[in-house]
Amino acid sequence: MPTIYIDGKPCQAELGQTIIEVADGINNGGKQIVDIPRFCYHPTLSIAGNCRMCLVEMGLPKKKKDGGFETDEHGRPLTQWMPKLTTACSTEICDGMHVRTHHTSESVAEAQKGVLEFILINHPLDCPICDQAGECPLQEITYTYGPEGSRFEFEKVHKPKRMAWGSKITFDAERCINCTRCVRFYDEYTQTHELEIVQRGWNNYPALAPSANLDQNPYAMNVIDLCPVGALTSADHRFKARVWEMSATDTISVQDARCSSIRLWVRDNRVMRITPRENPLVNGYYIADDDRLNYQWINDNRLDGPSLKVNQEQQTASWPEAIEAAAKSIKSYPPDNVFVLASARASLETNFMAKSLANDVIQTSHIGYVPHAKGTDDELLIRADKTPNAFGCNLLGIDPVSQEQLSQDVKSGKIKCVIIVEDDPHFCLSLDALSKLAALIVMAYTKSESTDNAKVVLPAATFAEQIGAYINFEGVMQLTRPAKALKYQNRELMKDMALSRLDKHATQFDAWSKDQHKIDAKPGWEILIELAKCLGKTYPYQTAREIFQTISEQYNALNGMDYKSIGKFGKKLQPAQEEQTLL
Amino acid sequence: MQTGFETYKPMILNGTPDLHQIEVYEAEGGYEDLKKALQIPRSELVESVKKSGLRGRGGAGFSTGMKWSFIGKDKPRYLIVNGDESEPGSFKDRQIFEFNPHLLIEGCLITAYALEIKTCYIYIRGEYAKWIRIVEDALADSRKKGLVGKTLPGSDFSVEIYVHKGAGAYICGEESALMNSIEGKRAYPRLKPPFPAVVGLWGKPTIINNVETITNIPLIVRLGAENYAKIGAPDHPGPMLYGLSGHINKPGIYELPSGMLISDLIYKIGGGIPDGKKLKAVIPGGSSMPILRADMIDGVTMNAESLKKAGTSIGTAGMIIMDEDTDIVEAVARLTHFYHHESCGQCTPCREGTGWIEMIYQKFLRDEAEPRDIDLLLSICKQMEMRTICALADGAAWPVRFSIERFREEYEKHCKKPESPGWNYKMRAVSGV
Ligand SMILES: Cc1cc2nc3c(=O)[nH]c(=O)nc-3n(C[C@H](O)[C@H](O)[C@H](O)COP(=O)(O)O)c2cc1C
Ligand code: SF4
Ligand code: SF4
Repeated sequence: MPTIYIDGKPCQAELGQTIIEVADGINNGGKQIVDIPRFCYHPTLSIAGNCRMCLVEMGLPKKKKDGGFETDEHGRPLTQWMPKLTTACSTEICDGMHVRTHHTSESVAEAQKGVLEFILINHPLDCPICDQAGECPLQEITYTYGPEGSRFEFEKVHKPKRMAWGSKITFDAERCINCTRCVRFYDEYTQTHELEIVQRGWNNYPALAPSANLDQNPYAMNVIDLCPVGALTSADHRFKARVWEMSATDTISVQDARCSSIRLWVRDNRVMRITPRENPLVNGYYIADDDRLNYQWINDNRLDGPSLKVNQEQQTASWPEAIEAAAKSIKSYPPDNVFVLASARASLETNFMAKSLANDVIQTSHIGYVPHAKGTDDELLIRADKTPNAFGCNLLGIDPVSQEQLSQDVKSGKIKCVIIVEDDPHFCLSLDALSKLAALIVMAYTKSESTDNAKVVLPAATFAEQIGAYINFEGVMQLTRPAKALKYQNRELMKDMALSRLDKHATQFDAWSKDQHKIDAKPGWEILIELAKCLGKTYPYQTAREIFQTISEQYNALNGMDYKSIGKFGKKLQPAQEEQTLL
Repeated sequence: MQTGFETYKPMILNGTPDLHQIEVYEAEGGYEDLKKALQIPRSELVESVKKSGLRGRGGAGFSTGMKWSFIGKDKPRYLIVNGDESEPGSFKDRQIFEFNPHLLIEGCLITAYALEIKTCYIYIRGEYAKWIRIVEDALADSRKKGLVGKTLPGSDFSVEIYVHKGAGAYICGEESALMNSIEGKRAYPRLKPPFPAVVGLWGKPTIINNVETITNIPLIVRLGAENYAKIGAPDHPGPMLYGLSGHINKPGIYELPSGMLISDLIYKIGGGIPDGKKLKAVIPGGSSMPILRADMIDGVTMNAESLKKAGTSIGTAGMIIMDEDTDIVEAVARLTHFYHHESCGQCTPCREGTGWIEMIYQKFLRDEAEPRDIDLLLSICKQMEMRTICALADGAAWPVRFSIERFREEYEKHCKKPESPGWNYKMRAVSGV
C-alpha cells in the first residue's frame, strides 16, 4: 500500500485517492487525520477545485535519471517540492508524496488567509440575521483560518436577494461564494440541470434556467445543506429558529421504506426542521424533500390524552379508564371476531407486542397490517412503499392485508372488533365497513374524523418521541431516538434525548419552554402492555430495549443484536438468516 | 545575435494580392507542402516538428513537437486551432485569417494527418465576423478541391474542419475553457492535470495550438526542420508575427525572424515614436507580460531566453509601446478593468482580486490613494499569483506587480499629499479595531 506523508506523518493511501480523502481519513475508518478547510469539495460531487481553500504544499520523491530516487547523506529520500501550492481535493496521491498543510507551512496558512479575505470582501456578513449562522462553514473556517480583519474599503457588489427558487428554496446571491455545489448537485445527482452560473467575475451567481421548476424536483432542497453559506435557505424554516436554540437528534425518517437517516431539530418540544444525516448504508448524504418537509403532523393536531366514546361523542378519560374500557370491549367478543391491525408505521417493538397481544393474550389468529403504497420507486431514494417498517412486520410474521379484504370481513360479520395500532382507520377500512364495525379501538397520533368513530382512542407516541427499531426495504435495521418529550416522560427515554443550548443553559425564568407542547401520549408497545395486563397477562418489559432483547432472542435474523450493536448507521440483516425465519 | 531581418522574405504574410483565394494560393505553390507531408511517415513528421524547435505562439511558448508527442492513445482525437485572440495588444491571428487562410488550413491538414486526427475545430472569436467569413469561404473552396472533408490525395485519410465562433470572452482563449465552450458549456477553465493532450475535447485526446503555430507547420515541411531551425533565435526559432501598437508611428503586424531587437522593432520597423518623443515603457507580448522600463531594453531581443533575462516574457509578441508622456498608472488601470471584466469568476482569488484591484486603481486615478495602497496592491497580487486554476489571475497580477516594481514613483505621484485631510484616516480605523 502506498504511503504519503502529511506534515511528516506517514499515512496509508491507495492510488487514485486524493490528498483530501486521505486527510479526511478514508483509510482511517473515517477518522480525520488532519484538518483541511474546503468549500467547494464534497465527496458526492465532482471535483471543481474553484474555492482554492484546500491549497497545500506538495512534494514528490526526487527521481534520478536512472529511475531510482535521490537520497541525502543519511540515505533518506529527498523531496522535490512543487513551486505552486496545489489543491488537495484534486491532487491524486502517489507513493512517497509529501504534503504540508497550514500546520507546517507558512505559505499554506497565508494562502488560506488570502482566500478567506477574498471571499469575505463581497460577502454581506449579515450573520446576525442569517439562518446559516451557527452551522456555517464560512463562519467556522473564517474563525479558524481567516485573517483578523479586512483591508477592503469599497462598497460591496450587489446581487439579487430573496429570490424564490420555487416554493421550497430562497436564494440570496450576495451571500453566495460561487462554490458551484448546488449546480453540480442538480447536474450530477438528480441530473435535472436546473442551475447554471451566470455573469462573470465577482458578479457571478447561480441562476435558475428559465424553464426550470425546482418544485418538481423531489430532491431540490438538498442544496440547502450543501451550500456552505446561507445563500440557500429553506423557505419552510427561514427565520423560525436559530441553530443553537434547537436540539439535534439523530434519527430516521418514517416517510417511506428507505428510512433515510435524518436529524430532527427541536425547540421547546416542537420539531422545527429536518436535515439529512450521512449514512452510507441507507441514503448516502441526501434525503427526499418529503422526508424533510413532512413534520407538522408531529407538532400539531395531536391526540392529547385518551378518550372514550360516550353518547356518540368523544370524552376525555384517564389512561386506566380508557385501557379498562378497551379491555372490556375486547373481552366481549369471541377471539375469532377480533382483528389486531398492526402497522408498518410502528416500530418493531410495538409490532411485536401487537403480535403477542393477538396470539398470546386475545388468542386470535387475525393479525395483519395494511400496506401503504403510492407512486413508484425512483432510481435514487424514494420508495413506493410509504411505510418504514413493512420489512419488520414481515420478519415478525405479520402479513399484509388489503383494505378490501378487511372491510369485507367486517361487513360479513366475521370481524366485529378491530384494534388499530398506529394507523388511520379511514385508510384501513372502507366507510361502510367502519359504520358496520361493532367496536373500534384506535391507537393513533393525530386527531381526525376517523378517530371520532372509535370506541376508545389511545394517543400513541410518534417516532420522534421514542426509541424503536425499524427495518428498511433493504433489510437495514436502524433506531429512532426521542427528540421531544412526552407529558409523563419515561425516564429511560430522557437519557437518550439530545439537548440544545437552551435546554442546557436556560433557567426556569427564561420563558422559552411551554408545557403545552408536551403531549399526553405513550409509545405503542407501552399501551399494548397495559392492555395485555388488563386482559390478564403481565409482560415484564419496562423499556423498548427489553422488548428488542426478546425479539433478538426469538428471531434468528436479528442474530443476537442489541441496540448498541445497531450503531449510528444501522445494521444490515444477513439475507440467508432472513429467509430461514421467514420460512 | 543574428537577425538578418533586412533580407528576410516573409512566408506567411508575403503580400501577394488575393492570396486568400485558392487559385492564387495554389499558383503560389499552395498545398504542395501537404502533398509532400503525406509522403512522410507520421512519426517522422512529429519528430521534425520537435527538431524544428517551434514554440507555441499562443502565449506560453511551449515546444509544439513536445506537446504533440504527449497525445493520448485513445481515439477519436481532436485538433483545435485557437483563434480566440483577445489579449490586449495581440492582433496577429487576424492577419492570418485575412491574408493567408489557406496556409492555416494546410497546416491543420498536415497536423491532423501527422497525429491521426479526423476532426479539427478552428475556434475564432465572434467579434471577428469578417475574418470568420473569409476562413469559411476558404474552407468551402478547399472542400471543393477535394482537400477538406475528402480523402487526401495519395492517402486513405480524410480530415473534417469546422469553424466554431466564440461569443466574446477572453477566457475562451484558455485552452480548457475553449473546450468547454465548444462542448456548449460555460467557459470555465478545467483543472489540470489531466492535460488536454490526454483528456481534452469531449474527454478525448486533443491537441490545441495557436493559429500562428499551426501556420508554421507547412513551413517546417517545406524548409525541413534543420533549415527552419536556422531562422531567427536558436532557442525560439522561426518566423514571428510581431505586433506593434501604442505610441508608434507605423503600428501593425510585421513578419520577421524571431529574436529581433526590441529597439530595432520600435525604431527601424515601427518608424519610432510619434513627435520624436522618448520611450518610457514596453510590454513585449500582450498585456499580461511584465512591463519593461525604457532603460531595460538595451540589447534585449524577442526570444524566450533574452526576455527571461530581462525579466519578462514573449507572450504573443504583441508589443505595446508607451512614450514618455504616458501615465503608467492610468495605462495599467485600463488593463485592470479588462481583467476584472474578463475573469470567469471561478476561482476565489481571481474573482475577487481582479475587482478589488480595479477599485484601488480607480482610487489612484482620483488621486485619493495613499502609499499603503501600493503595498496593498502588491499583497493582493501575491494572494492571486499561482493560486488559481488558469493563468488569467497571474496575467491580471503581473501588470500590477511589475508596473509597481518598475514605476513605483508614478504611483506615489497619484497618492494624496500627507497633509491633505483624511490621510491615513482609514488605516487607523482598520488597525485600531
Ligand atoms: C486567459 C488566457 C487566455 C488565452 N487566450 C489565448 C488566445 O486567445 N489565443 C491563443 O492562442 N492562446 C491563448 N491562451 C493560451 C492557451 O491556453 C494555450 O496555451 C495555447 O492556445 C496553446 O497554443 P500554442 O502551444 O500554440 O501556443 C490563453 C491562455 C490564458 C490563460
Ligand atoms: S448558492 Fe451556495 S452552493 Fe450554490 S454556488 Fe453559491 S455558495 Fe455554492
Ligand atoms: S484564474 Fe480566473 S479566469 Fe482562470 S479559472 Fe480562475 S477565475 Fe477563471
